[in-house]
Amino acid sequence: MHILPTRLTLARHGQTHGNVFMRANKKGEATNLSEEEIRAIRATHSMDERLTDTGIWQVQQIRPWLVAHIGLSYDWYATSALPRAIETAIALDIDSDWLVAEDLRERDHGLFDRMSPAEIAQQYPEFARRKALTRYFTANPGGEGLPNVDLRTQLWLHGVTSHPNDWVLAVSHYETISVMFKRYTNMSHSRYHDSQESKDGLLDIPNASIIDLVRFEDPDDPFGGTTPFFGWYRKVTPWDKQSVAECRWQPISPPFYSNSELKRLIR
Amino acid sequence: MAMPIDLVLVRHGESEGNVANRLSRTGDHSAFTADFRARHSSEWRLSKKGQTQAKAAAEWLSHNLDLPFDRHYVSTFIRAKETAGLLDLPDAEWYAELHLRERDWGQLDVMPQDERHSKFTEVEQKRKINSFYWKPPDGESIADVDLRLRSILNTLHRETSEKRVIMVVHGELMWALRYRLERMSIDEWIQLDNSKDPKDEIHNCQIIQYSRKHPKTGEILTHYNYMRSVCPWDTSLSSNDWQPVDRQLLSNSDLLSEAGSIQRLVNNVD
Repeated sequence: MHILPTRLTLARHGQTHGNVFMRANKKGEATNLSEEEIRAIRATHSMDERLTDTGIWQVQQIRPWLVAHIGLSYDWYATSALPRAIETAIALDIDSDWLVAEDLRERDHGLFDRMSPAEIAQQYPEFARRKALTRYFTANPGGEGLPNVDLRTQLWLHGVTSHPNDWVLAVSHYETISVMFKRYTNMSHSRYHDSQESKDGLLDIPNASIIDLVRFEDPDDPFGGTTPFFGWYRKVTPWDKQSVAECRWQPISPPFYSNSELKRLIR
Repeated sequence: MAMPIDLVLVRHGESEGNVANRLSRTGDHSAFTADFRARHSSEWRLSKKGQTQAKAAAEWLSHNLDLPFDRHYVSTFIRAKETAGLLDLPDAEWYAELHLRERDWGQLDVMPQDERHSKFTEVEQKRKINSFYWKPPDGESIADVDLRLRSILNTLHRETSEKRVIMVVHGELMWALRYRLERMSIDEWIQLDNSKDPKDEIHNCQIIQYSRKHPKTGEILTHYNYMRSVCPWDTSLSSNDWQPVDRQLLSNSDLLSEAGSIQRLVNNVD
């Protein structure tokens, strides 16, 4: 019995003050944040972030896209228990009960919370060296590795899906969604690493974006046949007109290999 | 629902990492070149000997088991995939499963022995206290590996009850599976982990088969009551015959006897 839902829609929360701060921090740019705001952000844990006004506007664009392209007939609506995800869930204005799931929380960054890549490289050179070998398997000191995020999200999804034809919508976070996206599109860890390093766009998931995965033989026909595994996905950022215009279903290769395909992987 | 009728575990063949670590234990750290250290252990290939071992495993499987298997799993690491490809099993469609990857050695990964001893003296000491619960810095303990294995065992239980399944995996992972499937005590596990008897080891390409089928009567049982462990390229290194699996339940007196075997170092004297 396969217990994957027939539709899994992952929605990232909207922009937070922490996103604005970290984005500038990564690039070494100035922000519009005041000194006082920056001090306040530094003094809090990232788990407590709230949405900005822009973030609230971004997530308000999700609902019309869902109504137009999928409809609001999910069996389960779930949100990470962190405030920025719950705020996003509220803005979706769904007339249904929500599951609040700790397992959908963001990756724990441990000692690196609120630190920029430059600060990490300077203070933890050995970590930076290992991360350059593999982003996927290198755990943050005092925090989580991505395989741990994979484990908890997979166990959560198996636990929530009571019927194989269920549809699930989950509001979560960048790293958590990227790990679920990796698992259910059968992405190798080396591909994940390369994509993060090269910024080729595969793992771009801007605030208030949606990744929609389906097990329908025809992705546009929910009443037709189903496949045992997710066979199609599409990614869209509803507040970005270009992203909406370019949104297309992408096929997902099956999660198994023949003997000769394994040998080709080695070569 | 039950576990598959047969669950066959195969360790990968000798890898580049196995060779480098073996040499390093004898004081020769030359395999740890800059290029070797600049690559994650998930990308280790098989050595020539490892490829030969995988072909010996293929031979043993074809002579001792009814093929094909109903489901094929392989770790996402290259050395397991290379081994699986060389097994050349009929009608194989391999699921590459992340939860079957090798234990994460964290900061100790891809590090010669002398550097491990000098940089992580205290960490190595802690390992001697209890190797089951011990966790390398930023890595995984066997208890951590057990947690992720339960996810895949749940899948097997749900989807492959009456089927026969093969998994090509790693040594530490097979030790963690042994703990769970044989319901060993932690003490038994540590004794086996410390044993120097080659027949207690999980050699490269070692095959461990768990079965719900009675090896003599053919009766289908509810649990894995039998297992056999074979080193296919040198059967003098393994026990080979079917062994009963004794998954013990503990009585009250067993619990108290175990507690009594530990010396009390701190006591309330009031």
